[in-house]
Amino acid sequence: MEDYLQIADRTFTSRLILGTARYPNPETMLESIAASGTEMVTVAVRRYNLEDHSSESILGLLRSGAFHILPNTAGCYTAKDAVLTAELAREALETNWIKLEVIGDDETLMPDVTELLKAASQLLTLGFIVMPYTNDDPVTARKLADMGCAAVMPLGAPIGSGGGIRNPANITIIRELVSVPILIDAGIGTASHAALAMELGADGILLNTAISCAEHPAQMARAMKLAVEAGRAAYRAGRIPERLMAERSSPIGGMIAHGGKITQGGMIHA
Amino acid sequence: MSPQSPHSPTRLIIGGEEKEIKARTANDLLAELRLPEDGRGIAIAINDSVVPKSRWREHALMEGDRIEIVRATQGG
Repeated sequence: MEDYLQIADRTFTSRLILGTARYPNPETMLESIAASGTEMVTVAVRRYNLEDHSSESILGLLRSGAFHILPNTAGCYTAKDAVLTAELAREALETNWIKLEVIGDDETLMPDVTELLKAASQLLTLGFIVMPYTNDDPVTARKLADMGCAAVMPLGAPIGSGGGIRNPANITIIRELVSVPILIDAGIGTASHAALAMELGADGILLNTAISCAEHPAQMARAMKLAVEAGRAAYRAGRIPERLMAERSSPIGGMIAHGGKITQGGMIHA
Repeated sequence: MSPQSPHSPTRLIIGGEEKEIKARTANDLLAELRLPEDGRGIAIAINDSVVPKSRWREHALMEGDRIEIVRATQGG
């Protein structure tokens, strides 16, 4: 059966979104993007360097592929800055999609929920497709979804930490509470983290550091692609319930004599 | 001579740095800074408000304007 990721009015085959930061060089970035199979990449919006016109623009590099470009508001600490950055991104990139980040401090890079909700509300009024980076807090996720955000992007662990999914139960709860896509936005370190996130019911994953700072970024990109596909397939297949005790898989009928006695509960008594 | 006369440069704060500029409009500013004049991939905010490309030709620059010129870069 076909299985697409639908965000707002767009449909994606790949459930991976890739960041474009911190690669050792542009060639490795492009190789990794190709290996991941992603259809959507994120960019930041920054001051034009008036002293150096030589460096090739990120958009120029990405022109080779038909990627959906998702600008972010990374680095913003207030709703005011985030809204202005989003408006600049819309003008520069001709897209009304925005990955909304409003962070609270430098150590955790975790969202400032008060400012995040304020910014999301203003951007929705201004006609943006808002995809907010949020805590793994079900209440905040539900508020963002209810106000009209196109997706919610809870963190698995702090940005760049590689800590994986620190609070799997919260991701499951968010899955129960919101019907918009859930995209895990931070903390993934390796393939098993990505698979777990998808098994918990996430609709997709945004990756940057885990790939760009891996020893071999393109190989990690491929590993993540497979992990996301495997996790998604397992989620859709419907896993067995977890049990405390064993449940035998081979039949017990027709066993050769072993001198023991099988009780109703399946225990063998000598 | 008023700061807006054709021969006197205007002092602007561009990306946080003070600069003397001859340009009188946002469009001329891009040319003076030798940025791509089609404005592809670029956005401009003046005093915390985005000035859309369609208004670059007519938007007059004023003494002391705070100008941000941005473009996309690597990000996660």
